[in-house]
Amino acid sequence: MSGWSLIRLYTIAVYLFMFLPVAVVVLLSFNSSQFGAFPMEGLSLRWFIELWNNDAIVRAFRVSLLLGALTAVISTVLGILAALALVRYNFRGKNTISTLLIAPILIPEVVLAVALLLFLRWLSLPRSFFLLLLGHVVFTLPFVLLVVQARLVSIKREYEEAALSLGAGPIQTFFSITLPLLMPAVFAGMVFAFTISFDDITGTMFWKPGGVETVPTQIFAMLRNSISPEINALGTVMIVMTVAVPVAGMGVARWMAARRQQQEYARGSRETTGMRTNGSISMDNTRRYARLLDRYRHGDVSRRNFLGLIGASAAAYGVMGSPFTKFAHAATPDQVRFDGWGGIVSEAFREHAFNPYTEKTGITVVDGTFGGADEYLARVRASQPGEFNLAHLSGVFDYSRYHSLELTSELNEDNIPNLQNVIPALQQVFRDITNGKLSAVPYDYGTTSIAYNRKFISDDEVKEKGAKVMIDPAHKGKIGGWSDWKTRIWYGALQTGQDPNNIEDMEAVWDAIRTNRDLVLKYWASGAELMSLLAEEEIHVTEGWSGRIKALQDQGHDIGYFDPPGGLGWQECIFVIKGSPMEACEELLNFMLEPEVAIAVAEGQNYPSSLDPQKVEMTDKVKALPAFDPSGTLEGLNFFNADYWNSNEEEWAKQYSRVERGY
Amino acid sequence: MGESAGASRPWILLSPALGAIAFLLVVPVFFIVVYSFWLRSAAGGEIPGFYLDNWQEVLSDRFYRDILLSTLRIAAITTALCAILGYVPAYFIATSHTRHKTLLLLLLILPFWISYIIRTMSWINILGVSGALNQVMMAAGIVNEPVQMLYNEATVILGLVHFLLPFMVLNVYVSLDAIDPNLADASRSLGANGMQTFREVTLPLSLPGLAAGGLLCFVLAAGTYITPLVLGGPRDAMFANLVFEAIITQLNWPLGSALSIVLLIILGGIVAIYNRLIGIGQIAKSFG
Repeated sequence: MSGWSLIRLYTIAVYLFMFLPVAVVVLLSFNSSQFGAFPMEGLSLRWFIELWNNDAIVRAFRVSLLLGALTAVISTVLGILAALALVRYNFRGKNTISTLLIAPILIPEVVLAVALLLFLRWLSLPRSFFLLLLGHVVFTLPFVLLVVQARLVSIKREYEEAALSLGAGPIQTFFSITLPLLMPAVFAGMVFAFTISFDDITGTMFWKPGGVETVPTQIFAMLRNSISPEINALGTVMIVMTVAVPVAGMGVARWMAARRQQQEYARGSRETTGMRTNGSISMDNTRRYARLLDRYRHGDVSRRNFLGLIGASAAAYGVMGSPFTKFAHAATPDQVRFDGWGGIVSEAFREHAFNPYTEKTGITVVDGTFGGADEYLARVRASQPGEFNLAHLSGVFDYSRYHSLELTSELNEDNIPNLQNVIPALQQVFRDITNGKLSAVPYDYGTTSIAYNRKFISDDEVKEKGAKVMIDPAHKGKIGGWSDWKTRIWYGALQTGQDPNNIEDMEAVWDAIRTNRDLVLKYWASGAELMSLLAEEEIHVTEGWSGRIKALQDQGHDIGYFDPPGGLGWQECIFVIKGSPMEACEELLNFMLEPEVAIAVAEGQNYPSSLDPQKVEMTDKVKALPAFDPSGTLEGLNFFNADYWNSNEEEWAKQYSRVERGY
Repeated sequence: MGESAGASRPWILLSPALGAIAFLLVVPVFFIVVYSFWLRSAAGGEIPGFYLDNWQEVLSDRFYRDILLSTLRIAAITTALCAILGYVPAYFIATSHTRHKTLLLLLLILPFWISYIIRTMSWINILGVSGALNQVMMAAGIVNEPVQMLYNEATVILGLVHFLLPFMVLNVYVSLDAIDPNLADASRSLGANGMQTFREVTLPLSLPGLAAGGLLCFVLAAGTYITPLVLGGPRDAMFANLVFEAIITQLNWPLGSALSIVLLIILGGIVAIYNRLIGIGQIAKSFG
């Protein structure tokens, strides 16, 4: 008996481990502070209210539920059929087939995603909800198959043979004998498929059509702005839904099953008492078989209950089917597609630019999000001409990259009168690349400079050491940095006293990066991560993006921000991809450059607008943003020299990947 | 059932699944194989042809081999921990007489409902310098200043175990639940004690589930790239991070293709071993 209580204790410990992050997420969702972290500052429901008002999340939730439910049903049906064939029949090539069917989990999802996109480009098929669904079915199928197979192996064939010998057909036998015995595995498989689909991000990122967001991709977009406790609130709502809805349903099902089981047990034990001496195994066969026949006569209640539960989530959603018809790709002149970083920025665009634009022109703007510029470029390269139109891209570097991949278009500037208000210096760097023409309009700019926690590092120290503060052994284990190779090399150049746009001693730069690597706690990969590391005092100093640091300062963190000599500036643009309907795009660009829109976006994302403050009156909030240049000349900022960095890109990116990992 | 009717039946049952896999996986993977012999142009485009450069690089470079080995090691440790942590709860759920079996299983899957990224990041709130654990330890006087626990291989494994444990528990549960409870009774009535019964009857019969769960954990751990990004330090990259970097960051699809095929072949080998284990499962089946 003590053995059993040990098992119980162990189980409870494992459950506690599983629930620790859940508890943290739920707890922090009630945190009243702007930044979701310990220690908690007070209880509040404000994040739930904000969540309720967030249409984008509610929409994403519906898409995810529908996608998950359909994926679960389709892949479970396919999985059961395949498992039956693999377990119940012998045929040539069985091993190969069974390996083939679990292959989708052997391939890293990113590879599967890109490979599938390449294939579809070859077939000239556009992205659609249907494709997304198929993708999810393919990578959930192995999970269902493995679970069902493991169960089917243990179900004795004699049951089925008995049914067949009693005159039932194979299909009847399956539904009355095999399926009920298989139910736990079918259930497990469906839940698996649903949850994996619901949680998937990598594949979804690549396959989703424009305007469709699932919960994870939406969260990803929200993370760019900060780790808002709103996301924790979303997690809490999901937990409550998962607990409340199925548990209530399950309770009812259990109650009904328990009642029936009592009746069955009474009958079963009457039938089998006489056989106990013949051995327990045959007794069990008989009893189960009697129960099965009983179920068959009365119809399988538990199966329907179960399907009802899974179906409930789809029915509650109620708009079955609409995603199939609505999202064609955006090459047709009655709509254009815009891809951006999501979150506050997209909301500002939607309200101030997209909606008025649609009202005026009748052209719909289908907007999508991406997680990063590189991932987006991979998607664009695998697309068909015209599928992607406008994108919020960063830097001169990307512009130049798109140009060398022959993805640039040529804007007719007469159609964009607001371009006259844009800072000339920002336009010039683009014109240099595309022979005086533009394929994009500059939109915002910022810096990547040194951010430090004043509690641990003084302003004077940073001023004195400049970029070298990040290779100072005194701060070992408290230094952070962006994992981007360009930024690392730029700062490596500054740390070795070189001009980042004309590095003479590359070995010295690599050595500085190695020194930095050995002192660094962690290279961050997103704005949210940068903010979290600094706010929670995991790191004391890092380079940081001006807008994100400003957000931290606004939340009351005592973070300093210093532009070292030669500090890094960058800009973002709205890029028009080759093959787009040009006039429609130009008109939209003009809307986005309206001062009202540009200022709203600038305030939302904490980066100054590309509009010249000498020509357009900026608000005080914009004027207070870091990196804001009231003169409109941007002479104090250094940008990547696109030609220089592009010519070294192949070698340096690869070498950096090694250096980062200790080589 | 006549022999001729039976011969085509498995293929009819398999055709929908095979069709989906063939169209959405086999053909695309064939594309990658072709790609792996191309070259990346300076601009980031492709030069079609038949070049062995990528393969030469992937197979001869110590960098790739080292990271591959450490990836396999991390995956193996993760799998072992999942088996150790997961078997007991699965056994508990399957053999207890509680009416809430399904509920217990659902609870285990519950964490999936919080986005994977959020869940992974929530460990920072637990283990971080200002995280819950450090605050508790400092309040209790166990430590005087916060302990740095994050961003190393151990936290990567912790994140992976947390992510993969439900896969193990579900698989083991499914196979344990299918075991005829009378077998254990029979074993006891023949004089075996609880431990012997477990070792001789229950454990062998649950091996197919343990193997399936182990396979899933291993393969998913070996193919992961987000967990090391969020919970690892600079040196804790795994092989899928290299694939991701080659394909997404460096836009080197040919090299990325070659790297993924390497991973594919290695993991395929693991599946071959699993197929042997399923052979054990077949023996266990006849035991029933």
